[in-house]
Amino acid sequence: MLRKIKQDLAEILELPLDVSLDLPKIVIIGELGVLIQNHRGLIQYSPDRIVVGVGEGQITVAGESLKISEVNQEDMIVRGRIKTVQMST
Amino acid sequence: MSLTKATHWLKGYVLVEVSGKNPERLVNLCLISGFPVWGFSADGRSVFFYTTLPKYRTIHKLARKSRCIPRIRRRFGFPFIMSRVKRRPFFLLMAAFMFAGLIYMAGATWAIQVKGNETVSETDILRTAAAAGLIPGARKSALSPAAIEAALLKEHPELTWAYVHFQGTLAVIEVVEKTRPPTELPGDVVAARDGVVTSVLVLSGTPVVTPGQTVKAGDVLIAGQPGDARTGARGTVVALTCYEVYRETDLYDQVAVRTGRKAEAKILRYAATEIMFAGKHNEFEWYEVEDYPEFSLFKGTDKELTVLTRVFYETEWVPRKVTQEEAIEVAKQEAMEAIERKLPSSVKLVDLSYETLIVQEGVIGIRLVLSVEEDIGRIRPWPESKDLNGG
Repeated sequence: MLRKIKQDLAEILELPLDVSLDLPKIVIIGELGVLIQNHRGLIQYSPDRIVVGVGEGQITVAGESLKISEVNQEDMIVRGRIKTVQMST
Repeated sequence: MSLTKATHWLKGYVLVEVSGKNPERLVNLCLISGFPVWGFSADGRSVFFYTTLPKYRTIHKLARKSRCIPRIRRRFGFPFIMSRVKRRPFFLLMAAFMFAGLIYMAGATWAIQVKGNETVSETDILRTAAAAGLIPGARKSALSPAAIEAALLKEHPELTWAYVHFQGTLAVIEVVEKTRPPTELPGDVVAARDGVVTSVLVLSGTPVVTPGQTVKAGDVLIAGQPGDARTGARGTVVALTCYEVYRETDLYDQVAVRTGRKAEAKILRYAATEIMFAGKHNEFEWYEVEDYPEFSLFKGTDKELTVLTRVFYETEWVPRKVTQEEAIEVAKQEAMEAIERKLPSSVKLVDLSYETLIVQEGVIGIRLVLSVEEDIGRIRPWPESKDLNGG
């Protein structure tokens, strides 16, 4: 309920939802890379599967030769041959 | 290289291998602690990542928390290069010595180039410059370009200007030589053309002709004094001479007449470049061209852009009979142009006459005669003069 109010308020005030609702933002660049903003840490890492914690769920990036080229407390860039990006709550 | 990468290289960074049950936890602890980490990869058993050298020294606490074992696999950056170099003091000494030697040698002149000389030899110029201190190996700070230039001008009076400057370790000597007028050999003044003498002005020598006298080409006009005294003749002899030219022309001519067929092309012109972007290329053997500008940008500048329509009108040659008067005018014009090409620049026109001749049916001839006054004298050197001067 509170989340619904916050979402409606953000829409009315035209605020960016990812910032106002503390949501992750995922940008996929073809099959070359994925940018994940506002993450909560690395859950699993392997060359064909990376699981990243976000907000109330997690994001799974599956592919081949996956590497995390850059990471800090807020953002993470995954490079490699991306096959699927899945979000689960 | 970005600034971040350059900073990491200066501080030094390492490739860390982490093995254990939960390497992801170590990564998360590093992120929370503010560790700069990047370049993650894995080979199934271990996870690899890069971190800076100062931060790695504190990673063991975090590794204990996550029950992982970190190891350094590779080292990069300035601190590691310095530690290797410190173990080789002789290398450092030689590098410093080489650098100092390079600086010292760059302050000297190692090559000298001479430009602009034609009659004065390069060897002579270099010898004079060497006497003033400019030799290969000389220190630039010890040289005075002004002194070298003064020495060159003093030693070689054929030079009118000298300039010495340096381009790195190359010294360049630029010179300009004096230009002298050609020396006339002594001789007699003789006639260059046939004519009737109208005036004689003698500067040196003895006049042989008088005004009113007819002379032929080669006749002596003013005699000099050969022998031991050797005084050459000089002066001006003006005479009335004639130039004659003959031209023929046809009474039939051909004119280009448009047939009615045409072709159009659209042209884009920028400065001196033209590109055809529509229409057809010209395919007519004989044609006239007219351009019709459509619009222009930046008119009047050297970057003017114009779109125009170029129209090619096909033409054909049609014979036409020319009147005698027209033919005479064309022939006279051609004859005048031919005569003017022969005339010297300093002549005075006295008379012009022409004669028309019917050579054969359809062909007319014009003989044009020009009477002018001009200086017909020219110096004919004595044979002894040429021998003495190597002629």
